[in-house]
Amino acid sequence: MTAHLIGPPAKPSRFSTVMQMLDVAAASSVGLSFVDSREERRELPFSELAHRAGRMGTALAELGIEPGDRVALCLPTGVDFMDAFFGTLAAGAVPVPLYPPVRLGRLAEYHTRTARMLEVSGARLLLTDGRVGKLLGVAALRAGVKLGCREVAALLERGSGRTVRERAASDLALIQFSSGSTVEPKPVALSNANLLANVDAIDSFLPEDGPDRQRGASWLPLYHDMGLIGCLLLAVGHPGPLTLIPPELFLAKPALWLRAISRDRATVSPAPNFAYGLCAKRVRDEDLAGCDLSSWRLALNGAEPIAAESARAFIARFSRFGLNPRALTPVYGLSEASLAVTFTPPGNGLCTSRLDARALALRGEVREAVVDVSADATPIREIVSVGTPLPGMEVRIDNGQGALLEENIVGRVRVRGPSVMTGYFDNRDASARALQDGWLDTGDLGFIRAGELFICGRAKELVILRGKNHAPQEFEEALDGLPGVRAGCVIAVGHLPPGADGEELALLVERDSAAPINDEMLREQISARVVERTQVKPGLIQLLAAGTLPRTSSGKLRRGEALRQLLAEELHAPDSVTMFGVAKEAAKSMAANAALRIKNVLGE
Amino acid sequence: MTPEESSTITTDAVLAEIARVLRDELQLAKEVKPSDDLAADLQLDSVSLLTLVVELENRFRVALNEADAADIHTVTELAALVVRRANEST
Repeated sequence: MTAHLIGPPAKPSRFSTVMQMLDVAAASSVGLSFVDSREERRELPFSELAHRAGRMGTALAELGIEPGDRVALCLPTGVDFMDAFFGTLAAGAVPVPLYPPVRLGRLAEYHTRTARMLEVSGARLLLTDGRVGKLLGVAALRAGVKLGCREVAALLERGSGRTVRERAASDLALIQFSSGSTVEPKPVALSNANLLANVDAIDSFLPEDGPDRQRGASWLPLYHDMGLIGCLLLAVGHPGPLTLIPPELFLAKPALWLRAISRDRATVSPAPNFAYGLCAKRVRDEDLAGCDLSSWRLALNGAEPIAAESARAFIARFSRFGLNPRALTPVYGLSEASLAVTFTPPGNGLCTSRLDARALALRGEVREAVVDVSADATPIREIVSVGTPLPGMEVRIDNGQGALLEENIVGRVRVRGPSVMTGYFDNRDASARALQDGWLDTGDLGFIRAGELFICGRAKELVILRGKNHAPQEFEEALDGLPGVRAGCVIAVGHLPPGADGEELALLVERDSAAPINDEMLREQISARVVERTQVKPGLIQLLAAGTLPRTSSGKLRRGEALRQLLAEELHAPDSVTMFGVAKEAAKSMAANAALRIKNVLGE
Repeated sequence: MTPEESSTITTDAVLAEIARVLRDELQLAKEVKPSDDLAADLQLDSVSLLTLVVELENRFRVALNEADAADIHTVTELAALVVRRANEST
């Protein structure tokens, strides 16, 4: 069997624009409910939301916003966000949601990133609120945002009547960023048709019509595809109530999420893997007194690699609160495809394959692990199925050069379908690299087995931590100038250690043997420096002898190869070289040969 | 835990609450000293910091803002900020 999956045919969309979809929702009686830290509510029915959007449309048009202009939004989860997002669409412009600063966050880095994102999206206006607005002037000025930084509430005050400009299905309706990298932030440009196709595709997985059809609850940030498209637009598209919790509140008090699901009898609520792990760890029984999670039919798990163990821990922990063990539903997607690509069919729950870890890492071969209790048994890697393509979507695995592979062989995951972007905004080169003949190179590595997609690694250089994408350079550059670290000899990769809740940051560092510092102290200092600069704590710091990190012939670091060597346990600290020197050299050359064999697959 | 009246907020109370959050909510194993640097010594990542801030805000009914980060490095400085904000709001 060749590695090509085709989803069921997609039904034509009922709407041609997001604003048309909102019109229908406005005729319903449902809407949004915002939860604050005291668990008090602010209700915003879709009818009121649509009315405000029309007023905001007028205010933006009067300000000089033209159809097709990009309007950046930098707002926390709340009513202002809705006014800004739908108001921008009403004015015929393109919303560009950006992440707001966090309290005690690092501002210098925040300004740089925000300015870059404003620049590459060509934003003419930045909408914000009084609170974060004070901090955004720097970035808006740096990026040369023509109409500057404005507060949503003040603008809405000035708006009257109702302006909803006519737009076509093919017109852009959203620019979202695939990663927050300062090096090259990629603005994913999505049309009305892209967004509506994805909303319809997700909807086809929800149960048949009925009063319980779709009730959502989400703490996901609205500047992220899963929160914006998977929760907000889904609730608008097939009108159902949606409870929204600010992400920072969830991170500090994860029980709020589960309590909201229980209180509002939510049926659908997605989150990245780490959130399930966080709940299993931090939510106490007394936090959930009287809670009943039995309404939760789709606990969608996506946006980062899925760790089977933490998913199981979540199920085990909360089944006593009525959680259906099969509610946990692994899914796969990426912002370049709007959001969702594959879903585990509802009711199937968590399905995994236990594979021979070495065959997988070294040869890209999918081989069932043999149960062996002896000491030298092959290590096992358990990989979670992310299901089958949504309606209209296709998935294939190729060798990196366009040749389709067979099932059970690891290769590049490519996807095609109506929700795939037409390209990155105003970046022809990056678009041409990502898309060939309508096929999107996801940058992920995976395989197809028994008709289902499995994701097992990544060819693109990205570290995904708690659902957020980071460029490896963020972490590598943090170590510049640290005594004991060889300059430019650091590789940052994301890896999923056995038993962890999610991907962790691993730093592979060549140490300067002349520096008068012991390994333990150096690790401590590396960790402190990275936390200070990036606010991410490394899960693993591997100190290496000079010259150990794999490089290209031109001397560039090879992160993918370094990660493979790490997983194949071929990277060692300098101290361990002496005793096992010979064996290690032999193993290294074996690994190098294996790496050569799969080089084509990875397209390096 | 009931929110405290702002008039009773002392630096010691805030320090004690910081220690409690780090120990009970964030499972930090080591002893917290007032002079500890939040990043360098305690190695709090962004989620841990956010958790700490939200807990302090709820407990002492204050609002810390996004611009506050610039001057806050140590446990003492964070505690002083909370006390200052609490006094402003009365």
